[in-house]
Amino acid sequence: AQAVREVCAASAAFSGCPHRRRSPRRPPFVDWYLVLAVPDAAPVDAVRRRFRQLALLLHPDKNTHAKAEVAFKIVSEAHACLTDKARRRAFDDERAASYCAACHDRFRSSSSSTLSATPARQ
Amino acid sequence: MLRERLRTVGVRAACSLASSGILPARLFFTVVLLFLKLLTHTALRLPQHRLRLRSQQSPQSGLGESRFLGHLLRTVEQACRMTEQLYTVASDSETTGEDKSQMSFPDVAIGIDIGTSNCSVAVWTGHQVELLKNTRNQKGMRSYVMFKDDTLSAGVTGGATQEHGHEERDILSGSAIFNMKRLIGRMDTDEVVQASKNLPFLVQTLGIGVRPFIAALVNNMWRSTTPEEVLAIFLLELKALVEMHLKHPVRNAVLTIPVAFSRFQQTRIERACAMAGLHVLRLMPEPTSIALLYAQQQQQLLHDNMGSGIEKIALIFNMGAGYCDAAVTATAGGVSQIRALSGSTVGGEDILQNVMHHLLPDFDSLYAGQTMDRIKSIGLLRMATQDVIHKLATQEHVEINVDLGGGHKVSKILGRGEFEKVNQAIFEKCEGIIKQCLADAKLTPEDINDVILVGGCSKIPKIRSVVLGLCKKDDSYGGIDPLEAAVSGAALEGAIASGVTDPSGSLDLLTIQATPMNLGIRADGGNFAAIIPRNTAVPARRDMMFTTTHDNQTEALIAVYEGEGKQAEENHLLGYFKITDITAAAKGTVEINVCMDIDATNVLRVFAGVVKPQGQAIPPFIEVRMPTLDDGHGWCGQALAKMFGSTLDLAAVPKKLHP
Repeated sequence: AQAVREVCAASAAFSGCPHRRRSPRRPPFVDWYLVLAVPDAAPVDAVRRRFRQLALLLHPDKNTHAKAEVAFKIVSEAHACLTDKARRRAFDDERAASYCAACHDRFRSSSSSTLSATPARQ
Repeated sequence: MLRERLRTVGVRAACSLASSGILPARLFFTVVLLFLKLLTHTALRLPQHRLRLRSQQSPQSGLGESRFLGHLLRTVEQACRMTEQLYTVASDSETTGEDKSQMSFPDVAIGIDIGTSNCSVAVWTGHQVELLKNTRNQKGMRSYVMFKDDTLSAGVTGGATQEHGHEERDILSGSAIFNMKRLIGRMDTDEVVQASKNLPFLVQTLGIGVRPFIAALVNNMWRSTTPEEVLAIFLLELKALVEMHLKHPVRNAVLTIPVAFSRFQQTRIERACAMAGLHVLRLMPEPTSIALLYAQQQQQLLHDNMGSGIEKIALIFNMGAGYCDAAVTATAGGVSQIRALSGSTVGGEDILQNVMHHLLPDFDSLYAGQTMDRIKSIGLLRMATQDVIHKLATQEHVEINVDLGGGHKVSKILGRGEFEKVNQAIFEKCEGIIKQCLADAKLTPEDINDVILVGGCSKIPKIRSVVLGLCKKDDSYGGIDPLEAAVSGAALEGAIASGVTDPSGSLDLLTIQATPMNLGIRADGGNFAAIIPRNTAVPARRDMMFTTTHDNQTEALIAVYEGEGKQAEENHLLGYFKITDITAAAKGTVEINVCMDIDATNVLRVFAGVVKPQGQAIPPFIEVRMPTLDDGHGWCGQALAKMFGSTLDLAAVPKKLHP
């Protein structure tokens, strides 16, 4: 349940971003790196490893939380994007354009408090 | 007194089954008769069984079986007459009572592998998977249902005879239906159905895209049935076998299906299960269940932590009697992720047919119709051919000598080279499947760590050499039993999906499934726009924007297809619906969002609705669970095209690449 909440929070971190105005026609930006909690220079196998770890926690077979399925879909989307070279490059470009440091920091500080409360998740 | 008791049994059985599924009235008879047979023959003793079988033990001894049957028939007739009123009343009380008893024991789903020729069932016993044996001590049971005067017997209990040779002959006598897995959910224009026409039972086709008529020979009469019904009877016996072993009722099951099964065929399997009183927890493609088993073995082998990250890539090739599937899976830390899936409807049955045609070149002209002696001849030839193919796995040459009756005789020596030449097309198809699978997974043969060969046909030397040659391996992975792997994996999945946890960690496993086929809608004329491409991890949700193709278009038709073709018509129509009340505007300005969602149980839902230019949805959206079509898929697409032409068409909005 903890993991589910974190992933959902991460995916929504930028949706209410007041700092940068995006074209309203496009869907809200989601930072896949933030979703998987991997650094943006992470090699593909690190992304895979993190994805498997999260999958074991989030897959609806394993997690009965009502939002587990949503969270798993987000995570698998993140994985699909970051393990495909072309898509990752495109994403990196888009991220550079719509990245918002203020929102990122705000999310980081809010999640670090939960992180310290649950040392199990490393 | 006795009649009173029998009546309760009959009515209750019929009603509880009726409540658990859509049960044709005629199946009441067969199902109740089957229960009776189990009652009398296998002396079933289930403490909490809802049919209260125990109370039936005493009267049985005092009665001859024919009288017993007579009574039962009368009670069943009564039951059928009474169903209208009793249906709701009796079934309501039944379900509530059942729910209470369900609470008392952990409900672990069983794993069932229904093969084209052999079936098996396994269950998680708390620390390992156990395959169940039937009364004849077999783990793999022949898949067939025998139709005789009043009784039915499925391959589970071994039919009337005890000897193997007899069983085989009985199956081919015309009164048994088998190969239901190849026939289920197929239209009569399907080439697989066409090829089934020389089976020793009646398969009648009209070639107009409806379900074929199949029938078994009972007392010189063709008695009609359906593949679903046959499968239900078989599953019912299988279920009874499991209940006898576990000594409590089972309700949930995980079934393995071929990759090539369409979503429509999957619903047919679900319906057959519902008829047999089983709830389908998961339908998993066969190679993925093997992937799960492989993941477990790797996990035990390594005793490693999750993070260690040694990823092993395995290619799984499964070829049984009816279908052939391949999958590439990446396994690490107990998680196996399906990278690619592909499958086709070639299998041992095709090999058998090819060899039969080779042995008797004028086979088709000789046995075009289905009279009694022709059925007998086909049966004899089938048996001989099966035997030859089995022997060719170990021998270079096999001699055949069979008298087919009616002056026809086959005596020949078949060499392995000849056999391989006859089946060249099949081996090429297998090659194609594996190549496609590797290409989809974006891997080269060098990336593969293990090659897992399973299924009955994996014993054929040529298949082994083709697969291993493509993957550049000398030998296949040895830790998996080729005939028991699929069912063991299904039982593991059953335990995992039922929420069982194991303190020793041997259930910390997961298979991340992938979609075997593209899912999308018709757009841009007759084209197929894939919304969820194949090999997407499941559960998944994807959406796509579409727009209108005409000025002031207020309605749009969403036709959902599944398949690989670029044209919508080449694919399998799953269903369709209309979006209405689109605001009249110039073409290309309205945005329609179509979203497809597959949940953990592999249910496909399609959402569609108009989206405002600002990106908000305009309610109401439409949610449709697919497939909605029941029959006649070919027709529907044509009828839709005829009726509406292109007036309700949509065009895909070219999407900027965004993640």
